[in-house]
Amino acid sequence: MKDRGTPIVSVKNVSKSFSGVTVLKNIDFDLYPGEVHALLGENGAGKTTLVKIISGVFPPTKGEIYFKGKKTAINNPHAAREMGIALIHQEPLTFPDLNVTENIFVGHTKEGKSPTIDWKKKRERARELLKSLGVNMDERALVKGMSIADQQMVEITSALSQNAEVIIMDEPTAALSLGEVETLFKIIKKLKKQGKAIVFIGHRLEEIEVVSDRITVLRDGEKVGEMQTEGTKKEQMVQMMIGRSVNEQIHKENNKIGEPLLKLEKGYVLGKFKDISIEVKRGEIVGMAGLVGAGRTEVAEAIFGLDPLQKGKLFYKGKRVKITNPKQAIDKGMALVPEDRAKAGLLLPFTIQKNVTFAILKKIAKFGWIKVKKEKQHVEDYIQKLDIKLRDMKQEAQELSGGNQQKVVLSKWLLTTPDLLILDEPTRGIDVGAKAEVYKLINSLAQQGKGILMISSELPEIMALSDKVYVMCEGRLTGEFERKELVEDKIMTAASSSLHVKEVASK
Amino acid sequence: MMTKIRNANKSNANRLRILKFAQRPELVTFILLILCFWVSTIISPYFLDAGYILDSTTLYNEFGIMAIAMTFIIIAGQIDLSVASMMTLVSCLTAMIFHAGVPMGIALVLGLLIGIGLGMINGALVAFLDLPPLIVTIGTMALFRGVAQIFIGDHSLSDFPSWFVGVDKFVIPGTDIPWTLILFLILALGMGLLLSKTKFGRHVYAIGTSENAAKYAAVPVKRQKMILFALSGLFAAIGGMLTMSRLAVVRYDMALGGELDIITMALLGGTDINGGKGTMLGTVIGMLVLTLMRTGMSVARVKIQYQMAIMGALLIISIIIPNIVRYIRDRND
Amino acid sequence: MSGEQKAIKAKRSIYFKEIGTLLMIAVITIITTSIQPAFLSAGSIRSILLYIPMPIIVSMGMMMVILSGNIDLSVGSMVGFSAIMVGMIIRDNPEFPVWAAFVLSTLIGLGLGMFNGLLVSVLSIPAIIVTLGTLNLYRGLLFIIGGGRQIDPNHIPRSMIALAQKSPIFNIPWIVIFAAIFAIATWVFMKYTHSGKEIYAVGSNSQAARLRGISVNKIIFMVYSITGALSGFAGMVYAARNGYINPSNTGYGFEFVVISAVIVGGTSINGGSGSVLGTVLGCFLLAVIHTALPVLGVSGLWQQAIYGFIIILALVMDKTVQNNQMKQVLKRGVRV
Repeated sequence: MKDRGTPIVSVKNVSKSFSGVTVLKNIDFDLYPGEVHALLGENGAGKTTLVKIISGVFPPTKGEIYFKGKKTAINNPHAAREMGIALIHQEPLTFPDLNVTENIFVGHTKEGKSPTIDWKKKRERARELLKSLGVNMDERALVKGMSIADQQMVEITSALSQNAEVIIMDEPTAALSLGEVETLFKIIKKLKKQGKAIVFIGHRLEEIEVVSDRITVLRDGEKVGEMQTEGTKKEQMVQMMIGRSVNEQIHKENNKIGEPLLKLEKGYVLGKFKDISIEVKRGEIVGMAGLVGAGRTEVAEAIFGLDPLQKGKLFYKGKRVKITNPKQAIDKGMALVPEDRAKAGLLLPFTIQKNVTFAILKKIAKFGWIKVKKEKQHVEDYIQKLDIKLRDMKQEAQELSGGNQQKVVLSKWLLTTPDLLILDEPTRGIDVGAKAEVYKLINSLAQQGKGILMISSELPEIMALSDKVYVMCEGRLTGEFERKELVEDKIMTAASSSLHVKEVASK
Repeated sequence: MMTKIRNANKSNANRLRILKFAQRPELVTFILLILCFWVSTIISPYFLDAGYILDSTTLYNEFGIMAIAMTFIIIAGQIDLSVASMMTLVSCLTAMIFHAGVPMGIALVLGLLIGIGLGMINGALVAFLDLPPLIVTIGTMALFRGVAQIFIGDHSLSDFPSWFVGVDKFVIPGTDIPWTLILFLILALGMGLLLSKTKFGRHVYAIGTSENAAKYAAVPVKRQKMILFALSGLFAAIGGMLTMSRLAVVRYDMALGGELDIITMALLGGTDINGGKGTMLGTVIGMLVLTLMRTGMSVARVKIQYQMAIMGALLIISIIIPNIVRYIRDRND
Repeated sequence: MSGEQKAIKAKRSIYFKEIGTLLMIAVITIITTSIQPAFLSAGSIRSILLYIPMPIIVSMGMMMVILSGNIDLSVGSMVGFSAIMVGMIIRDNPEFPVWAAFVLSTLIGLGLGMFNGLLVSVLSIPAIIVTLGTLNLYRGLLFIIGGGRQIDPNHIPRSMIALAQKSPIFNIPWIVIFAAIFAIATWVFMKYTHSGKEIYAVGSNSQAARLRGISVNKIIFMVYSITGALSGFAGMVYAARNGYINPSNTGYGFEFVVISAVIVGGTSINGGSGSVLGTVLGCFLLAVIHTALPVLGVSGLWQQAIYGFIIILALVMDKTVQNNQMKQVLKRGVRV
């Protein structure tokens, strides 16, 4: 290996904990100018946490950061940008009401002592920068309504305008289409030539293969491998990402599969998903795999009535149904445990008691008046059933740990005695012990004859529990596997299978 | 040994319960109430007379009743600045309907319906057109009072039937307790129970905490908001009629600036302007604080305009205090 | 759609709202004139010219406040407060120069605005509470300090009143020139200074603004201070135009006028988008309506209702435009 000199950014022995929970452990990571260093790992592996530390969003709990060889403290994102480190977020942070030039420069418009801004000069500079990246965009266009891809370009250009030497991209291709990924990769190539260092967080292995020079794999907050991209096989990458640790905890119980419970035929919602046909039977655990942004949550929300189907047919218990709001879904016997506990699953300032019973208020109320004794009975019942660890049911939900919070959400929905349970990332952000309990619960629910539709980005779960797996990518159904056909590789391929990236890779 | 541990746990739990109680915002308001009371007795010995204090509430029971609805609105994360204008418009229209020959009783019922209708206009704009409640109710605040101005002009209307006038003078026989105070307290109790013990009430808190989470749990958010604004209109109508009775006259500039007092009552009572927190008990104490302050200032011959300044400052202070309390609490955690 | 095509579409839509306001002005003018041909007269123009300065001046500040994602309900009281304070000084010191009166009034307004700004930015008290409170606090204070007495016409220097009557050019009174200067200065400020653009940024996406290193607190403090200062200046304009200052009336209800002008002028209530041109047109619209009402025989009693109606109408229209834009975005779509 030729001598590349000092790395531009070097992270040594960095750990990060939040409220006692360690999310990053002893990470060493370095970055050289002119290279694309990919960060690979499953959801929750710690990739975003690491780059947030490097880009100044929060400091490490332990460990040191070196910039251009010198030990530094990066106090806030603004300071990081001034140093030359820019983070391009997964969801672009742009100003919709301002135009491209203004978006690029606002916040650091000062040039010399002049109190005024010379927009003509700024527009020229914007044009230059855009050209240097090969981007064809009118620097006067309003950013509002621009595609994610275009907004990303604006952000990248903005970083360049501050002479960024390190550009971190967090899942930049998650919402991109063929041409857009191609364009982005061309830009990354140009940036490399300009000597910039790029950190690329991604999921799609074909992309990583094409765009990166080096790969670091994280798993459960630890670094499990670092290698040159060239010569590394996809299977190796997958193995490192997934590991074997959690699998021992998950095993599948035998369950009897009965008649069809839910059937969706050619479901469609503008801008979200198209041509989705899935089926869930009683007692069956159906997994929905795919990458973040594949459209699975949107399908679940459509079935549940939050953002109803625009085209397509829905059948429940054999009958054709039209569900336009959650109440209809719940009345029919469906439940949706949402992805985001904090924003959609729980009312955090509410007490646990009130959270658990929130979906069955009609059941415990007589003419609207809530029967507290009955309420408490239900709550105690589920505290026991799910072994929820708390001090008092009158505690606020936000005081509980992630795992226990999830149990509260599950209790809430189980109380509605559903026949179909849609679980969206049921084990996100919860510790290993709680995960095991959730898996046990899912198994027992299936044994009771309930139908389970489980959306998950964690392959071990999908592989271990599902009787059938659907895979979505970019709003379309790209795979359907029965349990006996389940092979990790095939699922990952289907999940990353933009008909798109394959073509890029072949270029 | 086990009993010792059990007892220790129990006393720990009790200690925690006391601590939680001490942190309740209504406690601060209550302390404020005692303070006000003490200060007013210094200003004037009248305040030592229970009858005097009770009588003084008759001026503010109307706003108090409207503050009941406002509490719901603010807990749900909304705001209604048009309440005083709705009250005025309903009063003016009721008076006009009466003067057009309709019997007072029917006119009053119509007035209540008009109030609900006005509230529903707010509700439709906020819930169904998804417009921001602040600016919408600033607009309807001007619109409703403006319409009152159009209908009634610069005149005042009076000549109401004798049975209708002077409701503020009626007391429970044998006591000094005014009927309007009883009405306020009964409504507060009823609505308070609705707020804290029913499904409807939980939904209100939920919408103010996280509309999104509420949606996922099948709370009919739009319908709920509409009901709350209609309620605000209804209570404004009730307040309007009580005022008509007390003043025996209506003008287009009645209750000018009333929204300030009403919102202050709710905020003083610990209702969080950002939504999700608040109690009816707090609003009742807040109403009493406001009544004492206003009456005290009147007795001390503080000019109306000075009172304006003080009330304005009070509104701002009513938010600063919970902020400070929260700041201290977070520091100690 | 290529980047270029997108840009062209964006440019066209930029002036969409201003054109809309202009159209409304034209429509109202045409309707009024057809009912009462007398509308199109020098008298009407004069009435419009005299109405316009105060709204324009203060709405420049209000526009900035709304652009940053906030609101200011206290402008009317700030106008009244500064007017009364300076009025008292003029009354007791007839030799006090008019230019000094304007400067002093502006400074007093600045102080009032700074207080608002401090509470909203540093203490994080919601803008509606702060400005609802100061609306009453300032109005009450002006009575306490001013004693509740009117500043009579004979105490207002003739040279000040002349500002509303004499004109350096084209019969346009001095106060209108002042308003024009403020409008142009605001336009330059918003377009060409660092802070100007940052106001738009804060209103458009305050989270992103913070991450870009923009001091959101500084911007909020600034817009409230400017609004206060402009309200102070407008206080003297009031004196010049009306010839007296009254503690109850001066500036009373003025916030409605200003807020309607800003919103109907196309500034989005969510912040981030709006223009000086649009706001000025909004003021013209209100001026035309104000002048047309008496010509049509509609009594002044209708004014408040009309302001309220305009606010709501503007909100509904703004929302309709937003909804259409959303549909376009979805259609252009990400994947499907």
